[in-house]
Amino acid sequence: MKFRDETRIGGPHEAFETTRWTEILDMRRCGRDEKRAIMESLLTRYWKPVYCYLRRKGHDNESAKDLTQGFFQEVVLGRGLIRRADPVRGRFRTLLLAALNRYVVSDHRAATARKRWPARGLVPLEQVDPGTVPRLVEQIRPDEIFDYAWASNLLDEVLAEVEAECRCNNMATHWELFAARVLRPIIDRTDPPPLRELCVLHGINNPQQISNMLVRVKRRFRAVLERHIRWLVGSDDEVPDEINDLMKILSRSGAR
Amino acid sequence: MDKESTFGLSAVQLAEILAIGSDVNGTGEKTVDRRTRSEEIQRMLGLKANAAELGGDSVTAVVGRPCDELAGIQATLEDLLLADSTGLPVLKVLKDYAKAITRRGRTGSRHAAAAAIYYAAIANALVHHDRRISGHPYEKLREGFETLRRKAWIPCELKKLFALALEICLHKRQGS
Repeated sequence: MKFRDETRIGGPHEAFETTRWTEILDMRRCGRDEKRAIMESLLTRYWKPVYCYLRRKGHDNESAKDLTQGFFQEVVLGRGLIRRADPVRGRFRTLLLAALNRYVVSDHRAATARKRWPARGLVPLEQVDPGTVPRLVEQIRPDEIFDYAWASNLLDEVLAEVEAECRCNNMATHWELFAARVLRPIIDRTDPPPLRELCVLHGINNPQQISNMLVRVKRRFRAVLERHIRWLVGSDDEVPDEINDLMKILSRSGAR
Repeated sequence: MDKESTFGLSAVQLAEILAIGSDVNGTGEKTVDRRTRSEEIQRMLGLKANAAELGGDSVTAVVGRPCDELAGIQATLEDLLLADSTGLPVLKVLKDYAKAITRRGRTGSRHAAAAAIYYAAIANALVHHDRRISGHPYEKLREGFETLRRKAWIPCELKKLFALALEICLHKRQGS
């Protein structure tokens, strides 16, 4: 079971992930390469939520792609949305969504947007194929789709990173057990396979050993998740609240 | 193997994935298993029924549907499970919630506490509403109530409830 991470860009991205929200704001102090990496990471992290939100608002594929490009080009980059962001005022994605709503109704975008775009566009949407929106996602309300798509991106990143770490650190079996016992039951809505069965499949002596292996991966998942979240909040103390708030939002939007 | 994505899963499924590892502390041990069953059931009984709590264990997230039955309710699980005024819709939600918790782990204090809550919801419906909200036959329910009633870690008030429900199951069996 491998998770695709469409937000990985490599290079300074690794350092970017551990940078706090408040440090990101002061991009004036960043070097050119670091600033570029920050912007690219933001784009790849947020293009899908923006695009999905526009699709659920009723825009067709081409229109949503155009608006997504325009938004990042004109608002996020052009008007310095990040520089003006303030963690005291709320979550970054809330700020982004508010700015997106204003952009969509703006009178200026239609007349001036395309003239200032780079030739290939800021976000290479043709490479990530945003055209297909799963049926289940189409049922989520427009005001909730942004958080949904953002959470999905986040989880794909985290799961891909945890899997990569496991495989690089001689813990491939740990990951396979985690996928079989924890992830697949959630995804497929099935009962988890019995520990004894997993023991036989993987040549492990006793179920307790598997339990211990699972705990290691869960702990790693939690640590990676919290590190990704920490980028978006003002302090470590806010991380658990951010995660719980996101779970509440998803629980509400899914419970229909 | 194709790369998978969480995009396309339900929002509730995303919430469940987000909750992974929420009960694992920094030392790598499961905090739930370190708690005794007595502590765990006291903790769960003390939860507010309508609150989102502790790593995605909110009733709505676990049950996977809107729980309007709990809207406006400020009582704890213990209050609801013991009160004769708790309605059947609420008891059914609590039963489903506890059942879902038990399915997350086969062993441990949380599993045991959730099983007790499951049976407590059924017991309340039998005792105060004369209704069976479970598909289990009375004999199986009787065994469950009997077993739990004898456990040292079950709070006294729940033991009383189980004893009453046990009697009802015996009468139902004799009358069927």
